[in-house]
Amino acid sequence: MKILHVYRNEANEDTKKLVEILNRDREVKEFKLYENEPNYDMLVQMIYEADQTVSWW
Amino acid sequence: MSSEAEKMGIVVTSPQYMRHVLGVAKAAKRAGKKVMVFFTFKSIHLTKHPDFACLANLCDLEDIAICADSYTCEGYDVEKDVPKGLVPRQMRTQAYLGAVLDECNKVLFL
Amino acid sequence: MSSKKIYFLLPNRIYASDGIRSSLGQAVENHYANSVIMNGEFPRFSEYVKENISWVRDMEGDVLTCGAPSPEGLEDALTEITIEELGERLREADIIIPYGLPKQTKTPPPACAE
Repeated sequence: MKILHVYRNEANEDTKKLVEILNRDREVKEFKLYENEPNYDMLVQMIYEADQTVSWW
Repeated sequence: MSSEAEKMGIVVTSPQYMRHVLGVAKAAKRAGKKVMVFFTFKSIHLTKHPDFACLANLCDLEDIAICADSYTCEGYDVEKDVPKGLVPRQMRTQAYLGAVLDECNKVLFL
Repeated sequence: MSSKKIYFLLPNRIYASDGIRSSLGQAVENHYANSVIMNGEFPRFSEYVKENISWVRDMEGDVLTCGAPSPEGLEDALTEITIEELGERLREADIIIPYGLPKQTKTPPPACAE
């Protein structure tokens, strides 16, 4: 299973813990919306390549 | 691939990411997807953002809506103050979120 | 339409009541809807909120508290869960919704906390 984590802000400790558990035995990618100018085309492509996307606060 | 498989959902629950909502919606359109957007609770304040009408123009009439109860709860007049870019029947209920989950094969929450 | 297992994650009390309302909306749409109030960021438990919690649970969903015990008098209304247990449950979820905004640094004042 491919999971994509999208971060709107830097992850806090709870988010890091949940992500760690979610990532177990999975193919993981991440996209940081809060860094520089987001490449939205790449984000959409990554969303379509992933089986599940979680957009953290 | 069916036409439903080509629709991307954006569900907006935060009131502060209009740039990302519009950026993702435009990118999805460039990728050949239809876009379906729902605004709920405090995110409905984004209907007052200058870019909201631009976003509405990217979507088919049935593919963008806001939660009418949220709009009222935040103090707006659901009858006399329909956001620019929408018509009254785009003021919907939480059932619209169910429709987004049903019709879109990919959904991003912002 | 297939029923999906959905989790609304609610770390900010200003959004907690609405997150529960939204999860009720998805329970009505035949999804398995769960709300998770995180770190004791409870909304005011008005009759309206209590009714919504009750409806969610009646429709095979749940309202959970993660990282804090249930408030007094609500032990039967909320399911207590640790962050590790929540992580394991989220692995089974179809849709995970980090809802609204993250926790505020400052506790909301009475002007908006009530």
